Amino acid sequence: MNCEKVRSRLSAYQDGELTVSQSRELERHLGACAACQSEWEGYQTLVAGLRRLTAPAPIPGFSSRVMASLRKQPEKRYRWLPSLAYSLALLLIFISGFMLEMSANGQRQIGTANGQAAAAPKTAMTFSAVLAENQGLGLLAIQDSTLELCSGGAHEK
Amino acid sequence: MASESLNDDEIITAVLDGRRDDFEILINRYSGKIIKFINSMIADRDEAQSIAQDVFIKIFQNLPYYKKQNNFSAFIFKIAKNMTLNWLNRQKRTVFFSRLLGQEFSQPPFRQAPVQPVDPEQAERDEKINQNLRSLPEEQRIALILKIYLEFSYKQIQEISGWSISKIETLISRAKSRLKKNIAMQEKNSDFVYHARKK
Repeated sequence: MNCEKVRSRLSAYQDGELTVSQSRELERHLGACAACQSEWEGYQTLVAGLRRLTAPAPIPGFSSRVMASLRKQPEKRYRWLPSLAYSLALLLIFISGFMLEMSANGQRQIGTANGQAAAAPKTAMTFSAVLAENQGLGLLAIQDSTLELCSGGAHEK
Repeated sequence: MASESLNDDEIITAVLDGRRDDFEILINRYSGKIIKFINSMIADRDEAQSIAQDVFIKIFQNLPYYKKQNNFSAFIFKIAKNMTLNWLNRQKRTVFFSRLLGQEFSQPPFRQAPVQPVDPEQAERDEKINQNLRSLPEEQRIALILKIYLEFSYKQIQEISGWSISKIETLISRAKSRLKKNIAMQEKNSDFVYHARKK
């Protein structure tokens, strides 16, 4: 290890961040090089000076003051509720969209079938129109069967 | 109190389960170090206490997001570091706009802890170190404070800052070299002035 490399590693050595073998190599160099030894002493003096600086202790009642501030805040037990509501809303929108799409597909199919039957293509029908038509057909069927029943009954009589 | 012997993660579980008062144990456990860190960064002891109070409130609010891996220390110092840097940036902006408007901005006096009576030479040396520490670039100062004052390993500093180990090593090394050089230069100058006055 040359002087340049040793000096670049002195800080990490002081911080205890070198491996055992790196530390041993550096120590060997320090034992033999007066200039690097002097540099190392400079590091030692500096860090000793830094460590000597005093820091203020927490003021008396510091923790009580923090706790008092925390008690004033509302308990956020159900902080997951807004995200749940948001997810549910999204899910609802998705399901509605899906159902609308399904009904539109159904319409198209009915429309195509009707179109084929009447030899006039229907390209678009609303859901309510299909419903009304189906209901109408159902009613007609009911009416037909009623008539049939009525007429049948009349024949019997 | 039996809960005081619990480790950080156990206390956090209790707090999240509704025993909010147990959070005070964590405050007592870490307030000294947090105030030490903030004070070293901003050099204003009253403001350091006030920021520390906000830091603990923020820690409490963020407890549900803490992943229990026994690295609570890194979690809280990350919050403390960010809040302190925010404060420093706000201060810089205030100074900038005050100067822009041509107003005199009086920087708060340097309010360190009242030190124990020491010899004036020692006090002068400490003040010199403090001033030089404050003049370091922010990242160098953070890395040095976390290492020297709070005795975190490079790995722990990495967890707090998000910097790579090699960057941390470089920052600390440069900070020490810079401090050493500046202090030596100032001592040389003061010696020169002293001898000149003597003559």
